[in-house]
This record gives sequence, structure tokens and C-alpha cells, in this order.
Amino acid sequence: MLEVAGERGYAATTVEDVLARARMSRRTFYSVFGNREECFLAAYDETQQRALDRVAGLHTHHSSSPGLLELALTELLTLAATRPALARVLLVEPASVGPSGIDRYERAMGEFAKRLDRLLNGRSRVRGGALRCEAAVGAVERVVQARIADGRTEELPRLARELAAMLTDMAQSSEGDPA
Amino acid sequence: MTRAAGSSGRRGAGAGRLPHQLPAGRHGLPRSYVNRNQRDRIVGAVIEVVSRTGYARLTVRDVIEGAGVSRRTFYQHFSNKKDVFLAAYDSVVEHLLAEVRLAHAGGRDWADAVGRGLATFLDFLARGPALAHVCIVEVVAAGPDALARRARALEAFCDLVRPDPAWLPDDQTPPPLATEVVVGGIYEIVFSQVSQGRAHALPMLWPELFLNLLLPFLGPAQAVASVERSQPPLAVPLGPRG
Repeated sequence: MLEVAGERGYAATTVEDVLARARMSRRTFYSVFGNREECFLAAYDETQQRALDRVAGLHTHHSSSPGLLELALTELLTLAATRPALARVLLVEPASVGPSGIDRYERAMGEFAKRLDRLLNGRSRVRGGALRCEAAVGAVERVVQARIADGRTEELPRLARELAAMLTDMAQSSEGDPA
Repeated sequence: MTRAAGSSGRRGAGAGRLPHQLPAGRHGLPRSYVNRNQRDRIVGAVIEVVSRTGYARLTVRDVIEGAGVSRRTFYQHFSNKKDVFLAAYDSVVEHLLAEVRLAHAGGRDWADAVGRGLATFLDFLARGPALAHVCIVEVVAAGPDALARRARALEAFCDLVRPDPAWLPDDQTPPPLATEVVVGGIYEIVFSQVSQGRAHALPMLWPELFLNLLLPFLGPAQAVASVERSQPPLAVPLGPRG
């Protein structure tokens, strides 16, 4: 499912395509998944978890947060550059699934935002910090989506440093809060 | 044949006619006006239905009922539900961009222009939660063509935000991705507020969002000063003031 949906998009993916790629019988497929949507959502959860795990693994080895953020972004953007199909499944295709896909997507991005908040703001609850982290994750999403859309994913890893610097500024700008 | 109201109109005497429906029969209106009016009604119905049910459960039948047009009229203008949704999206974005551009044009300098544009953007969405839902949230559910439209709309907002280097302080060179990042960040916040049914509260986020927008371009000190100078976040003066 990951491969097929990543290549031609969820809308154009049929259960037959998935069966052919997975060399699986129709019966086996339907003993595991109720339908195409369920199968996609399972693939989605797995991809998202894998991406989160890759970033989580870094936490233990590094301590400075801006450096860690750059590292995490490099990791994720390199993943997107080397496996554009995965990036497409994670960031573009949920929209074609409908409400369940969008809901999953929102939750996944929320999880990334929470981790970013924890990484940059630690345990101290910075006022407006969560909102800023949400914005920061959203910003990265748009940057990656735009590159997926015009097939320029290979330039993503090079953007990690600049993005990390901007996100750190964005997420930690609470001192000057005029409100 | 200039019958506009379809089957319900054929019952005659205007019975059951909604206020925005044209009277049935020969009303002597030019064809182009009737078309325009029908099209607008259909687009209006799409926005109403989608904000209630979501794009996934949008049906042509609901649109026809909401707009008070015949099935045939519907298919004279649009080929299917995606087509009509994209038309509704385009229409909302066109109005939104027009208002934002107008506010932006009245700015004293770059920061002020962007602040006014942002305030108008938030205000537009707060005034029309149904419009907000369609153009911010449901567009994501309408497939690849809709996403391409959204990308174009975001690009238009980027063009408004991107500063002429002449406006920036000499010691500030914004990172090349700055515009993309700030616009993407604002979109994300707006998306999550609108999808939680909090479009009405968006204008309250103006100081925070405006600050975040200015930050990569002006640096913290100037960004804060600009936000303070631009209070209160009243967008366009609505006509000549008092």
C-alpha cells in the first residue's frame, strides 16, 4: 500500500494494485483489512511511527536543543528526499482519503508539534509555546509539500539548517510577546 | 426558455419560492444575468452544504435543493461535485484575496501593510465561519486538484508577505525560506482553529501571529515595536470614518 499510494496517489490505488504488489490473495487481504481505507490508515500509522522513532532515537545522544532540532530535521528531510513516496503518504495523500485520513494527519502533526515543544521549551510551560510549535510544524509541512508537489524533494536536506534556525526563533520568541 | 427555478417553479404562482430564487417563467431578464444568478446560488449552496456536512458527504442533490435549481441547470454549469466545489473554493479565495490586497495596499510601510492584510484575513474568516471552513479545512479533502489550488492561493499570500528589501533594516537579511515558513505557520494555526470551530476567535490571535510573521524579517526588537505601533488590529477602515 505504501509503495503504490506513494507512487500514484491514494485516489488511483485499488485493492487489486496492492494485492499484486504484496503478492497476497484477496482473501488474506480482507481477513486483515475491512477495505482500502483501513489498509491505507494502517500504512499511514506505521509510516508516521517510523518517522517519529527516527527522531526519538536522536534524543538520547544529544543535549543542546537547537543542534538537536537541526539533526532531527536533517533526519526527516533526508527521509523525505530519499523516499519521496513515504513523504507523499505522510503529508499529501491523507487528504484524498477523506475525514478519517485528515483526522489521522492532524493527529500526527500534533504529535510532531508536541515533541518540538518539549524539545525547545522543555518542561517549562512557555505561554503560547504550543501554538508557536504548531505553526513551526505547519511551516515545515508546507515547505515539504511544495517540494513534493514539484518533484524537488532532493533539495530538502539542504534546508535543514535554515529551517532549524527559524523554527528555534519562532518557537522561543515568547520573551518579546507584546500581547 | 428562461425558466430558472426548475420543477418547483413549474408549480406556478411562485409558491415555495425562496427569496433568492428568480420568479419562474418569462421574467424578461437577460440570459447572462440568469446564468450568473444561478451560478452564484449554486456556489452559495455548496458553501452552505460543505460547511455542514464536509466535502466527503457533499452530494449534487443537496446542492440542487439548497440552490433551488433543477438538476439540468446544475449540469449546465458544472460537471460534478468536485467541479462545483472547486468553483466555490475559487470564488471564496478570490473575495478573500481581494479584501486582503485592499487592506495591504493601505499600509504605511511593509510591516504595516502586512499587519493590515493579516488582520483582514483573520477578520474575513471570523465573519464567515462557513467560508472559512470551506477554504481552509475542506479544501484538503477535495483531492489533488484542490490541493494544487490551495498551493496557488498560498503562493499569492507569499507574494503579499515577501518584503521589498528596501523596507528591511540594513543589518537584517531574511533567510530565503522566511516567507514560505511564516505563511505556512499562519496557515497551520488558522487551520487548527477553524477545524475546531473557533474561526470566530481568530482575530484575537492577531498580535501573536503578526509578531511571528515579522520576526524572521525584522529581528525581535523591531518586530515587537512594529506590532505595538500597529495596534489596534483594525483592518480596513470600513468606509469613511466618523
